[in-house]
Amino acid sequence: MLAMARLTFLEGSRKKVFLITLLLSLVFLLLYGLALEFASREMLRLDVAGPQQVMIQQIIGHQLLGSGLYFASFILALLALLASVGSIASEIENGLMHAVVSKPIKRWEIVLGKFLGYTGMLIGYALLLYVGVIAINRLYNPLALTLAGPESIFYSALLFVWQPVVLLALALLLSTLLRTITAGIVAVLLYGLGSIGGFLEQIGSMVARADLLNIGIAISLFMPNDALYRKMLATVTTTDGNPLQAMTVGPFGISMPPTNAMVWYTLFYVILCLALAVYTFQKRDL
Amino acid sequence: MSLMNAIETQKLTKTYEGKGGCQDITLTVPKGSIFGFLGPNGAGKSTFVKMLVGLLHPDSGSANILGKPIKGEEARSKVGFLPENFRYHDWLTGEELLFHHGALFGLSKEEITQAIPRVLRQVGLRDREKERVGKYSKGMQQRIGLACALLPDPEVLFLDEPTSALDPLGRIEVRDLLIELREQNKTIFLNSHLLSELETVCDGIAIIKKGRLVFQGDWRELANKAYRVKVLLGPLSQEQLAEIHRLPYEVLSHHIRSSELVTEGRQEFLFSISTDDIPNLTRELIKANIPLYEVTPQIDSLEKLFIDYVKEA
Repeated sequence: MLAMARLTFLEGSRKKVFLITLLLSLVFLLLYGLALEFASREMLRLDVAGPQQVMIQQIIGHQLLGSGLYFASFILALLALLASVGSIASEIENGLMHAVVSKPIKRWEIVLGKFLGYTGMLIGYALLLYVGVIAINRLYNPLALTLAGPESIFYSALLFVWQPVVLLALALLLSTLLRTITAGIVAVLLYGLGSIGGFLEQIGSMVARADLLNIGIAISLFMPNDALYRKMLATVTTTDGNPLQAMTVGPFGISMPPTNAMVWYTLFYVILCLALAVYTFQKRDL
Repeated sequence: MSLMNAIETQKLTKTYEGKGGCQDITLTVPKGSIFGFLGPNGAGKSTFVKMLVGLLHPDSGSANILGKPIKGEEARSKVGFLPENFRYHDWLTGEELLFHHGALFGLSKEEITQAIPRVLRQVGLRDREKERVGKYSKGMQQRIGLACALLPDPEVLFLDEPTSALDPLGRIEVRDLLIELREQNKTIFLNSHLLSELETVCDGIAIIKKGRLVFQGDWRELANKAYRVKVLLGPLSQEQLAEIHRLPYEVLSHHIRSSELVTEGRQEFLFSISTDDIPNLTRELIKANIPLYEVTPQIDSLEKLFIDYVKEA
C-alpha cells in the first residue's frame, strides 16, 4: 500500500494538471493580494470618515476574506477532482493496471494507496493555499481576522485541507465505477450540485423556509463540499449564526453555519466512499 | 495438486454474459517447462491468462499456481507477468520503474537493488536504466516490462506475446533467455502467435478454440501422429508408375523434381504413411525393381499442425 501511495504522490505532483494549478494558484494569490492592497487603501479612507464606518469595513473585510477562501477552495476542488478522477479508470483503460493488479498485493491496498498518495499531495497544496490567503488578509485585511484566534485559524485550516480529501474519496469511487471522461463529468456536476445545495440551505435559513432548508441539507448530505466550506468560513470568521452575518460575507457567506455533526458526517462520507470504491474495484474484472 | 506441476486448472470458466471467454479449461503445466498456449484470435487465451494472474474473476472452476489457489494474492508472490498490451509509468526512469514494481512484489530495498542489475542484464537494457521509460522505443518498453516480471526471480512466468515489439535479434535474445530460465527450473507460460518461435522452445503446448481446450501435450507427439514420407524415385516406366499407385499407401503428391542436384527424370512422391509402415514401403519399392534414391520422413511444423488442428477441431 505504501508503494502505491508513494508512487501516486510522486505521479500527482508531477502531473501537468498539478503544475498548471500551482502556477494558476500563484497568479490567483498575486491578483488577490493586489485587490486586497487596493481595498486596504479604501479602508484607510473610511478610517478618516470616522468610527461609524467600522461596520462597513467589517462587511467589506469579511466579503474579501470569504471570496478569497471560496475561490481557493474552488481551485482546490478542481485539482482534487481532475487529478484523481481517472486514477483508477484511466489505468484500467490503458492497461497500466494489469501490471499492478497481477502483483501479490490486495486490491484494497491499491485503492487506499492511491487515496493516501493523493491526500498527501492535496494536503500539502491546500496548506500552501490556505496560508497564502490568510497571510494576505493578515497583511491587508486584518479587520476580517480580528476575532480569529490561533485555535480558529488552526481548526479552519484543518477544515480547509479536509475539503479536497472528501472530494478525492468521491472521485476515487467514481473512478472505480465509470470511464475516465464520464467520471470527470459526473464529479464536476456533483460538485456544482453541492454548491447549489449549499446556497439553497443558506437562502432557506435566511428567509426561514423549512422546505428550502431541508432540500439544501439533503443535497449537502449527498455532496457535502459546500457545507464544509461554510463551516470552515464560519470558523475563521467566528460567525455565530446571526442571519445578519450572512450580509457581512456576501454571496459566499453563512446565515447558518453547519454543525460539528456535519463535519463528523463528512468523515463517515469519506469512509463510505472508500469502502464502496474498494468493494467495486474488488469485484471488477480488468 | 502435484508438486511436479507449476500450474493446474480444473474446469476453469469465465464467460462474458454467457458468451466468449473460455470454458471448462482443465490444464496441467509441469514445473521447469516452457509451455505454449495457442489459439486463434478471440479463442479465450487472454481471458485464461488474466484469470491466472488475478485480473479476472473466474465464473467457476479452480486453479492453483505452485500449489496455491489463484484467489489469494499469495499465489502471485513468485509469479511474473508480462501483459500483451504492456504499458508502464512512462514518466519514471527505467530504474525507478523497477524499484516501484519491486516494492509491489514486496521486495525490500536491498533485494531490489540486488535484482535490478540482474534483470537489466537478462533483458539487455544495461546502461539504459537512467532514461525515462517514455523515451524508450516500443521494443525497449517490452524489455523493461519483462525486467519487471523477472524482479522477484519468479518460479512461474506468464508472457503474453513477449516478442511482439522486438526485432529478430531481440526475439533471439528473449528465446535464449527463456531457455536459460528453463535451465534454472523456472516455468514459462507462453502465449504467442509466433508459432515458429514456440516450436523451437516449447516442451508442451495447449490449443484452445472458441473457449474450449482442444489439445494439450507435447506438440512433437502431435506431429508424429500424421507422418508423411518423401520418396525420390526414377526414372520410371509407365508400368512402374502404375505399380507405385497400386501400393496400399496414399500418394499425396507426385512431381518431377527440377533440382539441379538430381538427374533428370527422377520423380518425387509424397506418401501418407504411419511410421511403422516405412520399412514396408521401401521393401515394396525394391521388390518392384523401382530405383530408390531417397526416403525422407516429413515432420509437420507446429504452424501446420496448429492450423490443421484448429480447422479440424
